[in-house]
Amino acid sequence: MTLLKISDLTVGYGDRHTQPVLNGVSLEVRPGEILGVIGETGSGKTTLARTIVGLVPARGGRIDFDGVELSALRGKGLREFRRRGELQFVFQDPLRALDPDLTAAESITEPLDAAGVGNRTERAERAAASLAAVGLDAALGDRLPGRLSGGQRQRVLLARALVTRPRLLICDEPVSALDAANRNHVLRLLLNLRDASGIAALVISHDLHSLAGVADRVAVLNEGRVVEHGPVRQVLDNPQDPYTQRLLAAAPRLHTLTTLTTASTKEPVSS
Amino acid sequence: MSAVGSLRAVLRLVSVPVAVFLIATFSTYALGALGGANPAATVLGQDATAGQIAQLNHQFGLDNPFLVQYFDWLGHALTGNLGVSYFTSIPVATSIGQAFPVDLSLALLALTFAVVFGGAAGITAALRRGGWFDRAVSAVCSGLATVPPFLVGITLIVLFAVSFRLLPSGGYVPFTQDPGQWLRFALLPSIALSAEGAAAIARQLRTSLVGALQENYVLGAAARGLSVRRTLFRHVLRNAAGPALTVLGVQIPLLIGGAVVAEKMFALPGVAQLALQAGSERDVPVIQGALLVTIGVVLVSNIIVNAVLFRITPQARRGTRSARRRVTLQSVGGAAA
Amino acid sequence: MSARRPGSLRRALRLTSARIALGIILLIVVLAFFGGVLAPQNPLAQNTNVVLQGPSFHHWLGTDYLGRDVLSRLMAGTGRSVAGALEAVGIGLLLGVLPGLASLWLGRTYEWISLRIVDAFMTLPYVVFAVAVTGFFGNSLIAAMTAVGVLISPLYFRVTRAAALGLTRTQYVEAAELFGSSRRRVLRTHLWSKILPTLAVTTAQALASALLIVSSLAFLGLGVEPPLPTWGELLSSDLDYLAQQPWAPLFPGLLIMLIAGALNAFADAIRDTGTAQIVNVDPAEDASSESSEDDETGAEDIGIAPVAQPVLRVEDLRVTVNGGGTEAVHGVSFEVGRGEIVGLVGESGSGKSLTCRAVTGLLAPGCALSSGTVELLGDDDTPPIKLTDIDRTAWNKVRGPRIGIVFQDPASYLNPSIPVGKQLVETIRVHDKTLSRAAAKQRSIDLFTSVGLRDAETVYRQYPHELSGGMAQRVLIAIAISGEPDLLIADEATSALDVLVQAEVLDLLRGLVRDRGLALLLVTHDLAVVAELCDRVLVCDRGRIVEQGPAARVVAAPTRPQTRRLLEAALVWQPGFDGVDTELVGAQP
Repeated sequence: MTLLKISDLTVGYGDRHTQPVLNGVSLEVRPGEILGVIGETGSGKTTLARTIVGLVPARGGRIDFDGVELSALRGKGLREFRRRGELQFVFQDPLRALDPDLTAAESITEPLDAAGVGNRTERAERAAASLAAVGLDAALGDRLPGRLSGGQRQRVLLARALVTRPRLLICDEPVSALDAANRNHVLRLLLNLRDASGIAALVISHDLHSLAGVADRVAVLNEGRVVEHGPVRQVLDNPQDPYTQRLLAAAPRLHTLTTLTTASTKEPVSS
Repeated sequence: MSAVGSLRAVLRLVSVPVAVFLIATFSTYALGALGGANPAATVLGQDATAGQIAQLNHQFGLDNPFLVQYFDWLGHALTGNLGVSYFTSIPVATSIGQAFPVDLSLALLALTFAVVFGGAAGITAALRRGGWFDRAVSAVCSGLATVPPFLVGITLIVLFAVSFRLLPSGGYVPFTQDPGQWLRFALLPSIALSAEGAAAIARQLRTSLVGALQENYVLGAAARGLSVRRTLFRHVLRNAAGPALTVLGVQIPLLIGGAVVAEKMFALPGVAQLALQAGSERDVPVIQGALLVTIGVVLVSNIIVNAVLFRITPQARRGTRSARRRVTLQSVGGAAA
Repeated sequence: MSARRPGSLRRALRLTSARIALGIILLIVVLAFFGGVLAPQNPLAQNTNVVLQGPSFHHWLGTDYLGRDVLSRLMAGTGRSVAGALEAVGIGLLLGVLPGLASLWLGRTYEWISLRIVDAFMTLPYVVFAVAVTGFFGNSLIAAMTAVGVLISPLYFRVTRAAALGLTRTQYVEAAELFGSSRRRVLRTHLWSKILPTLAVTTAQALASALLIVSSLAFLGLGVEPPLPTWGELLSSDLDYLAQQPWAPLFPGLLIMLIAGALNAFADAIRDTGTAQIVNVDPAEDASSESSEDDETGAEDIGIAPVAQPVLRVEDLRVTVNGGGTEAVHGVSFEVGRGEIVGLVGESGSGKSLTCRAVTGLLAPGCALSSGTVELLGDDDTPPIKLTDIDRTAWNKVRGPRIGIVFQDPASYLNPSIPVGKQLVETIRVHDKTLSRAAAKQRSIDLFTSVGLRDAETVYRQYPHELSGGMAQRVLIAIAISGEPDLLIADEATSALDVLVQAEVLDLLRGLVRDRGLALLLVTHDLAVVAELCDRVLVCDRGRIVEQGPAARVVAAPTRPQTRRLLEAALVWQPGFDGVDTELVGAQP
């Protein structure tokens, strides 16, 4: 039973004769699973995310969410689906995705306001719960985005996506704008959320290694096509497609020696 | 590109100015017709009979359907026939033909002053950013923006004509007749006209330059060992000129508007004087003719400015859709803000 | 409840200029309503005995040609003149704002037509149109002001449209769409509060313009209904009697200027205080200021590790920022030798970029090299150059021929409106005046080929924005080596590139160093890149070099906590690393 099913998706800008950005992409996400989609600039990864949520129209193929043909929804039907909040999108840059004039709490309640869920108090409670779920202090809800750190902003973005209790999150490069320490925390958060509430996620990234500890399965996107997919460990350790192999080989290697010592554990980590 | 493709491109280029021209001229004609004034009655006076009025109306072509009248008028206008004054029977085209060169020569001189002085001030202010010159220029520009146009003219008259008797306070000699004398008469009005434009250009150029000077490519030029002078003139000005050019384009209707005031103040026999006179007499064809000529001048200058903008912005040339939309004067949103 | 930003009005009023402006505006409002009552004398009272008199005790501003008191006429005329301007602006607002907003949501046809109508109206100058309208419809203030109002509406249309257009393309509006927000809700939540300040600014400016236009029109006799006083009518009669009273036009003129100036100043205040501030609150920065352990280790003097055949020698470099207020680089010393690749690595804010800029003479305004020496050493017959002493002209002979520099985000460092090939040719010819244009062009194409650009002739003609990140960086590298420098400095040159492209560019750099015997100083935050490419590494932290040595050694066995932090951050992304472990990277921010 799949939660999200993308079948032979083709997306292109311009008329029929221009090169499509996505060319026959097929993917699946099962409930409670984290799927990583790896691609470099120009691979079509952002377009994929935006097409799934309906910001970009598809030229061909279909997208199904929990049995509903998502790609066929328009106008009122699409809006009603969106208000149910089962599918949420997490943008890449929190600085741009949050209204600078709304406090964190106000941004987080916005999806509930749009859907007309409950009364004011109930919405405020759910927002507070959402804040807590991402590990932020409730007091931060009164701050404007400009007064939050980068890591905090990204969590607010996540909290806003979680407030409708979605079943699937589409995350477009959720950690690219963060420094190393914050990246780990946010990815860890995703894992915890999945373990706690069974939420599934499709995480887009340009770096295969960053998803090593988070994704269950990965798909590698190159120039609009999925060139390889499978369990993450399998793809990392035994890549079949030449593009994937080049991708893995190109990452600058820290160790030129066969063993490394990590500072805190003092255990040799074999290369 | 295919034949259909190039036809489409030409259409796209031409459709905007043509549409604008039609709308503007139609408004002109419609307003004139709506004016309510029954021209035949006005011309013939109080004791005109209905028959005489009807006959004159027919003579003026005023009993045709409205659109026919409009296209008739427009068609004639494009061939140089702007009708005849209700009162003097002089062809409108003749009157305007005599008056227009006055405005044209004045406007060109004023434009030159605005560009030269405004440009120099703007560039110097940007280079010596924060210094006394910059602050003085800012103050002067703000001041000139709030000065009523006639005040500049009056000040100039008082200073140069009345107090010191250096230059005449009124009158006109055509350029073709005597360039020296023309300059004597045209100098004060042109300076008065150019004041606002020079201020606007200086201000915009300074802002664009200051912004451009902070761009990475200026650092890149320094990193390559290019001199300050070369960086400024070959690289920065080229990129910063765009908004200033747009401002220049916006100035042109303002210059024409200002010309009305300047003509009255300096007793110049220009188109605006013609229109004022016709206005007081409700001489519709003359007013319509004057408006038409104004519209034509503004549109032509817009096209020229757009063409120059297009030339200096390669992004537009290469056809990035969003960039092209940004570049032209028309269809830029909020340029005046 | 929430710490919301104070409204735009209150923010603007923090500026003194805005407060003064508002005061003046309020004064004028009072005059507008009560000018006639407050006037010292009857504005209409004629007195042929005191015609055209100068300022006196009885008549503060003198009298006009009919013996009427100028001051009283000025005050009494306020209401009518201001009313005219308000009417015009009101019409403009009504006709412009809603259609402007509608142009975004009612479809392409409406958009195109409304834009063309707006364009058409913008071709008509205010005064000429007013002349025409009063000519068509009769000379009344209403007719004149309606004409002006109609011509002001395009301004509102465009301003509203532009503001809304910019806002609808933001990601937070996109996000609102994705929540299923209705258009009305989006307008209410996100757009209105941001458009209003823009409208306020426009209104203030439009009022100022309208006032000037009213007076111009009245000057021409339009919209004037004597003997009722208006400012423009005063001016008109002033002109007739200019010879007797040359200073007379000053009074109404200055008054108009004052109001217009106040309005514009107010508008500027609203606009300038408009943008939301981003205060960088990074807990990581706060945390690092607490650890004292790091301070001790940082204070040790590292000293220069001597190098064979040094090209660059930096001794005790200190850089101040904030106009000299704070020292950000505290005595950095190192050398870079011919044929070696040195990495300068550190987190953001560690001072590595500042050091790089100081060494190349490209510090931003406000930053300065306060002490220390930077020497550029050539071969035995070229004397060393003290880079700390030279001026811009001398730098122009160093940057290019002796030092080549490559930056992050390469395309932005080139002139966006000139093809890249031409820019390379320009650089070549600036440094070698003997080369002909044709020869320089050939040399450029050869250089492009040598940095791995496959279709050099095509690239030559392209503009910077048309190149991909990797291609643009190769172009920058080609330009940097065109002068055949001894030293190449790469400031985060690969940080913004994809993994595959980064690998290729690093390969290119390695090849250049090997083939040309260049010295390469690579500034980066990624220890992995350093491990991959560099011979030696200098670890930078808070303006000091805390550790240096052969790259392999430093990476394998770091001795300082700062280096360990960098190592741990990079380790996480390495193959063979199992899962994400929070303990490894420190406490939660």
